[in-house]
Amino acid sequence: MQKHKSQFSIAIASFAKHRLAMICFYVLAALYASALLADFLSPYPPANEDRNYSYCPATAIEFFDQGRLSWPFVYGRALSFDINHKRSYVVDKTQKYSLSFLNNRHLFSVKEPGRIYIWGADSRGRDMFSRILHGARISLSIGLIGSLISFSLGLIVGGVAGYFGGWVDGVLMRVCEMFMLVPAFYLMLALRSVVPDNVNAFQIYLMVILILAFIGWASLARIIRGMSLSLRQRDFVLAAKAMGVSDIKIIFKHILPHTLSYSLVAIMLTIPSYILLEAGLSLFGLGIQDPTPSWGNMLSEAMGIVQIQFAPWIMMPGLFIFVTVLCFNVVGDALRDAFDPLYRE
Amino acid sequence: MTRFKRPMKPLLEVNDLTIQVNQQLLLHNVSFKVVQGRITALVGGSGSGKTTIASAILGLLPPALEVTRGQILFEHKNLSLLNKEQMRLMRGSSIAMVFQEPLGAFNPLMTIGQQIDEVLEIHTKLHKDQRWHKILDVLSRVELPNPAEVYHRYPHQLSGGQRQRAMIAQAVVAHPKLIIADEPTSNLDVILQARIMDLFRRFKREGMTILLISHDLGMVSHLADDVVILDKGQVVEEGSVNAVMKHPKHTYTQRLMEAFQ
Repeated sequence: MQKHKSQFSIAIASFAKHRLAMICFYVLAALYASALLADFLSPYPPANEDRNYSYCPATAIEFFDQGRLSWPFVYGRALSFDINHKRSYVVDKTQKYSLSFLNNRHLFSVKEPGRIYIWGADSRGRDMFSRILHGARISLSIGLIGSLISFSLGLIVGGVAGYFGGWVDGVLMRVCEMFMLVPAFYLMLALRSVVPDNVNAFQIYLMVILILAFIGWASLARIIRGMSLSLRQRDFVLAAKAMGVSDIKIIFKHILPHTLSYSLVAIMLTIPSYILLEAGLSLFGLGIQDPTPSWGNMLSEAMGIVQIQFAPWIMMPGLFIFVTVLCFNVVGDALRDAFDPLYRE
Repeated sequence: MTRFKRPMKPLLEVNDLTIQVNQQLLLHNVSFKVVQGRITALVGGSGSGKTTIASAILGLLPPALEVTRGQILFEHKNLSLLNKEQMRLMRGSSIAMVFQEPLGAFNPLMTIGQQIDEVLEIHTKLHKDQRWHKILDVLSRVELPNPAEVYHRYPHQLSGGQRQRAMIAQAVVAHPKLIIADEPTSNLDVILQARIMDLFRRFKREGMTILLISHDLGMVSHLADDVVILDKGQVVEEGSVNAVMKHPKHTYTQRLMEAFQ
């Protein structure tokens, strides 16, 4: 029997040849994996703070003690003020805290009262590294879950509207247009304003996901509607009808699978925009609330020029947003080319 | 008229069917009968309304087309009195259709087996393994080699003749009483045409009734028992194949016959 190669596997093979896209894919995989393993990889819980170490710069891990190779350790830090009353941290070589690995279900940590900040600390002495990893959980999952929800909604609404046509199509598309009329960010702020404030962190998380999903489904529904409008004219849909297949089954088994390659690419290009929207919402303090970290609300600390001058590492979440969005766009673009036979080698 | 000599039970009766779109007549007072256990051919040129009749029988007319007169009786029941759900369950189980272009009529993303299975899933209460055996059985009945292998093939992996057989297998799997075959051999070479025709003859011997839609008079004269000649949406001649072919009365039929010879 000849080996069957589906459109899908051909596209995946062509995608795998795209080197930059594969690198970006692995970067994203690493980001999602470290978000999953945040508790293990990070030395501190995200809300663990020590006000004595406000804006403490990154601690160096030392391997040599007075010229001799030693078990890795960190020096203690002492806060001092210079003549301009500017804060600075001085390395206190009398205090040494050795690193311990795989202790207490953390990859690495140091003995109390020593603190290890490999990427520095924020205003309340919380470890940026730990917070970025935990924030990745929220920022990355919000994009993924939000776009999956809005895609399910968009596929169903678009499929139904395109397949049935007529007044069903008219009503559903007018509803979509109402959503598309309002600029996404204002719609998001408006939706946020109707949700009560006295809710816990998880409820806020769900709410942000729902708000994002609510924004994006309409444009997808319109495109899927166009595709299913043309697919329903195809002979195999007529044949399925002539065999007595029900409308619902025709939509789900004979129409929507044909939009899959498009949807997959569109999902990849939507996730980064959701990550950015979440960051925007959290930046204004309307999204995920401190102390729960998200890349967006961590960045809100970096809104003052003084803080950026004094502790530039608090912009680190911005770098992560940048890299993630870039990677998703490269992967999405490469997928689109891979699914388009004209661009394929 | 030889066909009224024997007592014959009409399985399908089309009476005075008139269909129009935007005041323009597509079918005008079309009446004919399809007799139980015989092959009736519906012959006409392009645009004569053959396919419109088939869609009307299946209840799948595009919404723009309007039935202004007439009725379609299947087993003496008026099909227009059925609701949408009853009509849907009728399709595939009582009346099935074989399409002209099997490559287009199969979903390219599903295997042949899955698509035949879909029909059985709707119209029977068989279990999954019972359906599997039934599908292998029907695939071998249409003389496809290695049914178990064909089951897992995608439509594009079969040859044109194999696809047409698979299409016929899908149509007959739920034992319909009437098969509507819309130009079932027009994309095949002569040898394959002859073998598909053999298949239809066998189904006829097994008691199936076939409405053959064709413009191929050669095929019609070899295969059909009765013939209905359609021109510009009207029935111009009706009768047994022998009578019509030997002594065409209407000028359109005469022209068709001349073109054929």
